[in-house]
Amino acid sequence: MSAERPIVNVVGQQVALGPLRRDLIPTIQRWFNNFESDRTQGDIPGPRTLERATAWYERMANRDDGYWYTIYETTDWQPIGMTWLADIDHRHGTAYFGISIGDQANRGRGYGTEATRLILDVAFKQLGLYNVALDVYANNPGGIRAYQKAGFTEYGRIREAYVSGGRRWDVILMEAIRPELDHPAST
Amino acid sequence: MNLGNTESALYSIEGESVALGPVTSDTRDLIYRWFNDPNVTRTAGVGDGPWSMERVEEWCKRFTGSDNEAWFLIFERDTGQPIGVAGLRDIDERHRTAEYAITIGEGSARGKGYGTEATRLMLDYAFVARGLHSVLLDVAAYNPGAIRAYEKAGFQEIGRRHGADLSEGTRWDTVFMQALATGFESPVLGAIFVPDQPRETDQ
Repeated sequence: MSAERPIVNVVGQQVALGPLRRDLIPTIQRWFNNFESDRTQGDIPGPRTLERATAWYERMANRDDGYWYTIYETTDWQPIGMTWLADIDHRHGTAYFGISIGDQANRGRGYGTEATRLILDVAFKQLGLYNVALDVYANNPGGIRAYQKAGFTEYGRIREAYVSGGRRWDVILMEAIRPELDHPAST
Repeated sequence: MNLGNTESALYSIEGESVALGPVTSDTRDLIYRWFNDPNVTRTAGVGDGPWSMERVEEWCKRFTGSDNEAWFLIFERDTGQPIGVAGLRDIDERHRTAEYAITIGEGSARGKGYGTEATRLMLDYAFVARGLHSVLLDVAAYNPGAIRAYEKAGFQEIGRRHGADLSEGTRWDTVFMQALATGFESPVLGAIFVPDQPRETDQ
């Protein structure tokens, strides 16, 4: 099943990143109804209507302070999730990173790790940002490992600040810093 | 403006040197003055552009219009003079978390421990009156006076986002601090938020 290649902005080995697409709203709705995603995304698990997915799409598809991408795997060009830079702040050179692999079957294959590397490339090389941060919950060690592999390091821990499955978990704060020196003139 | 008049100041939470109460119709005039003072905006985290009264009024909507924020005016207790604002933002009832912010607007009120006590009273409000579990704040590393005050009030540093604050041409860390309800000793409200005792007439 080889589909036509969609419009993409960044192409890696296993995955590629492209713009959000209106015709994928039903797919996004399917992902939004996956409680496995809610567990790690921090959304309150619940039913998500097509109207709600559409409203989310309308908000995210046309923003100046964030970049939202569809993640494709490059073999069949199927959409497998979304990744984003939010709260892009050019004054301080900062942004927040997030990612969601929509279907359970596509987790644990390195897709998330590579998509994270690609978006850090966008953040540092294309946008010239200095510090990209993320929040991840301690009930998601797979995510933490993927972020470490992609270049994030832990810089802090908010104790007992996330409730899931009837217990409290720490919120782990991670950051990635632009690899080049801040002021090339000082080299 | 009713400054220096204890009769006009309505106190919800009274400490030793400061008290917290609801904002008043005068508050926008205070904010207008405070947010146009670079001594205030250097550390207040509200940006450093000019604040028109229209922009101030937009900002002040948070005082009245939101279930997930709770803002108090800080008064010097004995004189009733408003000296700043303190608030909980992003109050999340599911996770029982919130973020904290404070600004001492009156220059004459700095360095007297007022911010420390107001912060202590706000934690009292957060943990005892609202039943929250965790309160988080962030502060720029170039503001060690505030960091010390937050520590005295019960916050602990839990992390540093490196170089995330570009101010005056230098990259500074953003310091994250947290206070937990566990082990918090209530200065004021613990004596109020207690179960009623059976009355003699009920027996």
